Amino acid sequence: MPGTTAPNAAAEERTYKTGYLTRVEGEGSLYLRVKDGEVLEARLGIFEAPRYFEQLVVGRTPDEVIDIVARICGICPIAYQMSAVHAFESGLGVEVDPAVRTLRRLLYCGEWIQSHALHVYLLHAPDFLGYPSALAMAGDHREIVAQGLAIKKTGNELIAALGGRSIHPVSVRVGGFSRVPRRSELESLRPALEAAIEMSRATVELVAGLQAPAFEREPMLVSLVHPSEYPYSDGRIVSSDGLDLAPSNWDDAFEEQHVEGTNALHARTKDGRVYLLGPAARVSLTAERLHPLAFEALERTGLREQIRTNMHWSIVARAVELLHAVAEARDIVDGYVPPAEPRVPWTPGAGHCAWATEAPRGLLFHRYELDERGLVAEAQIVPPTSQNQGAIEQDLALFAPAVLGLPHAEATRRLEQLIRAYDPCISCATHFLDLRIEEAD
Amino acid sequence: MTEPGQGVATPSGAFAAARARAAACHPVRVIVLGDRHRSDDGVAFVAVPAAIAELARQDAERVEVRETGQLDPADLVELADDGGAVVVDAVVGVPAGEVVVVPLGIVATVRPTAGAPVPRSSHVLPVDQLVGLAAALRGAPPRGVLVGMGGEQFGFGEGLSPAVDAAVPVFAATIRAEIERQLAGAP
Repeated sequence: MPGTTAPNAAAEERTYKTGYLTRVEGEGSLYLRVKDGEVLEARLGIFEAPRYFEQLVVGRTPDEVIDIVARICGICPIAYQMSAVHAFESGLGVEVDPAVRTLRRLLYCGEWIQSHALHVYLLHAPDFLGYPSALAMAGDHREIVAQGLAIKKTGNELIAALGGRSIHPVSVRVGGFSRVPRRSELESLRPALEAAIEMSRATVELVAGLQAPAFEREPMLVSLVHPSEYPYSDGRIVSSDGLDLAPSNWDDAFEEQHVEGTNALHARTKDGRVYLLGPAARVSLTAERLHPLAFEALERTGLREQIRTNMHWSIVARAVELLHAVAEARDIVDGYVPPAEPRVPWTPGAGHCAWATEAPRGLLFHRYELDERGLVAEAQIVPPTSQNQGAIEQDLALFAPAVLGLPHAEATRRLEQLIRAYDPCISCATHFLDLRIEEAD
Repeated sequence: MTEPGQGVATPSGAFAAARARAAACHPVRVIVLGDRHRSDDGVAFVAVPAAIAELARQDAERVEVRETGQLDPADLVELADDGGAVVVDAVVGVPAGEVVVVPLGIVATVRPTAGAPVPRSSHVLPVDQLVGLAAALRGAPPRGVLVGMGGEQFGFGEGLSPAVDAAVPVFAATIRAEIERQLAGAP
């Protein structure tokens, strides 16, 4: 829908509005207050209904919680399951079989594959190639879209093999899995994974050849960092300015705040700073732990520094992680030896259970307080989008002056492109932004 | 920019192989969408088993049922070349309990503002775009229909609203009839 311009008679205030589009799942709005071409305030509002999962899980057992929190997101249910199950196992002192740990990495690979392929090909690439949607792009770039769907399908099949189904899998349990796959089940996925490796290599080359808008800043980056692995569920919470925490201690350094104009809680460091999570942060902080194929592909792009400083290049970081995930999945399948038992026994009881894992879009922290019956008494779930929201607003304020002089529709498109670079949950919507610009007195 | 596909098996080729496999086994695919834990959004999960149970045995053997929750373009791209799909979902935009049948070729053009039925499960990408993507990759819209039922409660919880629950037999009968039409080669 085209934007409209409505001069405000009261002062020199200018207001631009676009009507809401209803064909979206999430809705967002961006309010910019500008003076003399400088952005004084940028506020990204998210109007999705508040979600009451932190209350829904109260009174539930840990295994029930794992299935309930998967429902928070259809794109990254495994991230929610992984943060929950690691929190419970950490708090209750449950040690899982190393083969179970490897299978959980494989499950996480599946989620990263389908989520990253979706975002790179169907949500973000159309912005770079000048199309309003993946559908429009498919008319001119049929093979590109088919490639994205083929890679995504491989991720879905991995998740279904391990989790029983590709959406909202049901096999993750405290201590392991309700069922683990036979070796032959995973071997059947190998040809698709091998093909996905080649397609993902091509993906990195493809997106590295795109033209990204100019934009430079120095963000504070946060991700898990592990001494020998690219991070999924283990490691320490590390930042670009020296923070170093156990994954259970997220709330030693960060806190959530209510912010006017949004239903989401925003997270900040305890001294009020915003920070960036996700592929660009992970690649910048721990690229050396990428699978050798992915690291080599990253180095060939020559964009490592740009990934850190220009958020538009997160599409390359995401593609590199896509290659990492399919390559690691192939390696795990090759070396798979089923655990002796799907899960180890454990004893319910009271405990403080907290952990953070790396969802496709960044660090996802869960905390549960269990009462003496082993039921959840209190829960805290901090998704990556609410942690990234401050960084998004800060970046929008820095980037917006470059587009303020453009026609409203073009300015909106460019700001949407930047917001989509963070892969926030609202980015599923092809067009989601209600842009409002006010000129301050 | 270089188009992908050089040096690797082309993605379109992989989908074509999947279509050939589907043609040999299950010419008709029933795709069940929704969330059984979101009240009326789970109506497809109730009605499809009832519809399949009423099919003649030889017909049931030629049908593949996919309970996917969310529509994936691959589900439609991989349909057999001469096969069809019956996509079943709760919809909004029509009264609760009302059953609608919309050809997939038309789903891609439906807009909420038109007051037409819109599939409830528009997750990830809107259903019109997903069907359109499948059409772009196949070279033509996939053959088949969306069979939807209007819902009114989509909050958390199992169980259907009274209006939807009462209409399940009609919904199941419509689904069965559409499966039979697709098996007979209907457009």
